[in-house]
Amino acid sequence: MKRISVLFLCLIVGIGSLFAAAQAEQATYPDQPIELVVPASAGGGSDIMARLIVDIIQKNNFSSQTIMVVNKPGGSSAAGHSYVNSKPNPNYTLFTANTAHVLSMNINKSKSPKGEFTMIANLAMDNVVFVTSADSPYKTFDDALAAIKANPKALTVGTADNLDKLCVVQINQEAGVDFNTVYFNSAGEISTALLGNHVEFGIFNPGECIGLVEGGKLRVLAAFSPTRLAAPFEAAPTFAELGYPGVEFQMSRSIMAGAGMSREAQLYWSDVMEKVCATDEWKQNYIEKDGLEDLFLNADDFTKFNTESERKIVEAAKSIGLL
Amino acid sequence: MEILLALVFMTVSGYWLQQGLAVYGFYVDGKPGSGFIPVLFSILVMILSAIALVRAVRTKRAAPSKATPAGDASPTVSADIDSWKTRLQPLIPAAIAIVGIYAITYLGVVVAVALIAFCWVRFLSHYTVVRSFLFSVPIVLFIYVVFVWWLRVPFPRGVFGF
Amino acid sequence: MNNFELLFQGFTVAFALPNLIAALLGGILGIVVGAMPGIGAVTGVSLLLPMTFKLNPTTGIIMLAGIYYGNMYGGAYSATLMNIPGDSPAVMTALDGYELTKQGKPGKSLFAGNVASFIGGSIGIIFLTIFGPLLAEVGLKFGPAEVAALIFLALTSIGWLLGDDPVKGLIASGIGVLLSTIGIDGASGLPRFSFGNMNLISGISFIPLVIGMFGFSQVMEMMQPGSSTHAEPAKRLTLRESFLDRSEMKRILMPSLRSALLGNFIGFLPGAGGTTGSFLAYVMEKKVGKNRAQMGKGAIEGVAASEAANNAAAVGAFVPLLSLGIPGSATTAVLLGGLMMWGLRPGPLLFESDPTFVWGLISSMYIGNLVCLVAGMAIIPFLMSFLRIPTKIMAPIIVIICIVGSYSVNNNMFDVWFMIFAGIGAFYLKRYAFPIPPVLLAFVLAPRFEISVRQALSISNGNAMVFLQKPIALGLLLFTFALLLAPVVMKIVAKIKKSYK
Repeated sequence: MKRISVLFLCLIVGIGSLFAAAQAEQATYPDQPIELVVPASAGGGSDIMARLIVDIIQKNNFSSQTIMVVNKPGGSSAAGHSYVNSKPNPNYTLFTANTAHVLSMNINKSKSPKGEFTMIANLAMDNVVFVTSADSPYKTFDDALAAIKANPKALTVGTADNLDKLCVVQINQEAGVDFNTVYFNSAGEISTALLGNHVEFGIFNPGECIGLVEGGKLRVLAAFSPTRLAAPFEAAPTFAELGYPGVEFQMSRSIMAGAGMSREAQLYWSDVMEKVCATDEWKQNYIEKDGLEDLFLNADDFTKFNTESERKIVEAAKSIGLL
Repeated sequence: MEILLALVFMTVSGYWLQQGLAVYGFYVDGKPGSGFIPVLFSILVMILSAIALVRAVRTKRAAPSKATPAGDASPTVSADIDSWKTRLQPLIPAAIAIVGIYAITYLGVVVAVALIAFCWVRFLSHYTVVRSFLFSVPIVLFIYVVFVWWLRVPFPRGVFGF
Repeated sequence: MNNFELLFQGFTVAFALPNLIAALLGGILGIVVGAMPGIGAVTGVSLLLPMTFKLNPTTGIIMLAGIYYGNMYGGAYSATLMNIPGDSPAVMTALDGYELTKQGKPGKSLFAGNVASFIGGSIGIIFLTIFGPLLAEVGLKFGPAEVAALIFLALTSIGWLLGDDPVKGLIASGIGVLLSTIGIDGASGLPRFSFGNMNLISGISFIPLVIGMFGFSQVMEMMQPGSSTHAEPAKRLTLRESFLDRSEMKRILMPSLRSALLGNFIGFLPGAGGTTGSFLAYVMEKKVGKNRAQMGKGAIEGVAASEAANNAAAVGAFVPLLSLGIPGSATTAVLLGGLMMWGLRPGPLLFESDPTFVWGLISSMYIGNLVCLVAGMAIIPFLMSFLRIPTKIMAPIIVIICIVGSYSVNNNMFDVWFMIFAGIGAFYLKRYAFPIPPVLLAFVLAPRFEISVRQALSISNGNAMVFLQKPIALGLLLFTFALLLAPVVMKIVAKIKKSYK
């Protein structure tokens, strides 16, 4: 009996190696499903972008592999980065990044111990706005300033990452006020808290609040952009107009991958993202609708661009004591 | 054994408490810090396991001859719980699973699953070779079809490349 | 009423033949994916979403609704048959469901689960139809302080009510909370209790923990000589035996209705979700139900409470999605992505700007739910034949599924190691009468509790009075203490009475 079972084992191994020979020939990248990690919870700006990218890729067949969106919220993106770092093979994991996350990597030291993350592509530039709920007593930004001056720390701004916090700290310094901040896992959660009047203000990207602004539930008090934004945000003045030219932010939205991704994989995804950014779905359903600015940079251009913008944001954070 | 468990819980919660207070911070800048929840709950666990410890020691003193715990999860096994064979037998699945991890890593998921299924049915459940074979084939097929082919779970590729 | 006219219009669309086929196909696929341990509703829906892009939007949405419901039904099956909850809301289903399987009555549990799921889902949809956006407004009243108080209620009652010994139950839930603090701290970004391990920094995953603590420890018990944890039914289980008779249907009707209402309410609160819903419904049933003494020992009421509540909560999560554009759960976030693909933007204006779509979706939910009930009933005989497999073959199957399932969650071997470790731990905890469900439930609830407590205290600048100043939070806290103190007071009263005699 024992002999037969040994024979059976040999059979399995034999058939196995036959399969192996057949499979080895057709192993071109990507030969495994890909995870696209969103280091924030569902419903925020990064999440919306990631899901749209995946849907566009799959609808147009830009990649033969399945791409799964994985939400890893928490720790101002540090939880997502450490999840990416824990992956043994860097070739099959991408993640969404933005200037806020790049700042967090420095503050929380969540960069990979294996080296720098791999830059895939920059997809767009996003703006930042200062928002309150529509039924709040603060009709303009100056109303808010007057209230917080009268009662320091009594008003709270919901923030979803370190860049949001940097924005608030910069307002506090330039205007000499003291807004309280509280952390949420995503902008979606800030809007819930704003609508229920649990916090007074929130920092958003236009795309994260556009539906609620159009629906008359939220009001934009000011924009951190260099010029006024398009409708429905055209009524909000920039901080420069309000007399605080030092308060200005734009953030890049990009795709990165774990440290040590192969050059082949990096270029493959840079190509795929270029195709995504050229589709009508991307331009109409995302860039236009969510009030972003088109700026595609491929892997190499983005690597240069990111080094420069990282240096700038880290400097800004250092100058106000966040880092 | 129950005493040991209570002691383990106390040690673990002690570590959580110490780290929570010393490293992560209970209250930072007038707001709860990263150590807030760990500290509160480690204190809770510590107090409760102290109670459990006292109770366990008392019942042991009261009935030193009978070491079987009062509320055994499955009463049927209490008969000869102390013999070594019965103690080790439940750990067999764990040992096999650990072997399985290495098998999947080096041999690939299909071969590994086939091996686990076949060996278990043949040597642990003492079925005949033919029946073992008949049972393990559908298991392998099921795992392959559902997890590898349909849900596309990227299992490590062993020496055979699949 | 205008709503009903629109709903009727939606139905005429949904009843076209291709749409019915899409619903059926979606329901079956959803059930299969939902029953796979390690593949939860989120993964299932995102894997199947691309399939729907090739269809026209309405057919696509109907298929998605089928998949979504199927997932909720399917989670109960693996919980009942193998004691491996497919997803966190099914943890409570496993308590009584697997107990019934051990008693040779798996069919009753599956049947009760299906019926309760249907009731829960239907109640959720009816509420959505009638009240819609109004419910979202109620949900918004729950800010950080209120959510914290609600979860505090759940956390304390977990340890108190599950298992025979409150001290051990509370220790178990405390351990669950401590385990959940491993990994990155959500608010500050600091890695905690990671022992320098890269895998621990990203935190412990729930699914490997569940698979280990329920499924794997189960196999360990099976290996014990003379164990009777998995009854081998001598006779063939017939389908007829699994039908609930009239009195049994009566027994689950009220619990299902109660639980559905509670689950639906919790579903549209921000960030509470199906697990809290099914848990609180179970607790409620254990407190007020007619058959409370049998709960946890194989009561169909337990299965019904858990399933009705988590299905109702799943529908509840649609309320904030449709009326505010804020997804209430991870699965609805995937659906949000799908909606954007069709050029729709959920938000306060969706009900006005795209009534055909909204009402088409809602009517497709009715159909999806009905189709899943039919599919779920049809699948029972097949599931029952699975149980005729003897323990000797069942054990390796469960071990293999445990390994493969826990690997599939993050595609990481570390999770398999952790699963084994959790299984061994749970085996010894169970042997010394520490209940396992509190560990898991505390683990699920703690992160939300932690962040809510800290948010509430941050908003109040560190002032703990914030929990007492908000009426809803205060009410919930008072209720919690009443729940905790009631048995103690009763005991004291009884003692005093005794001493007077």
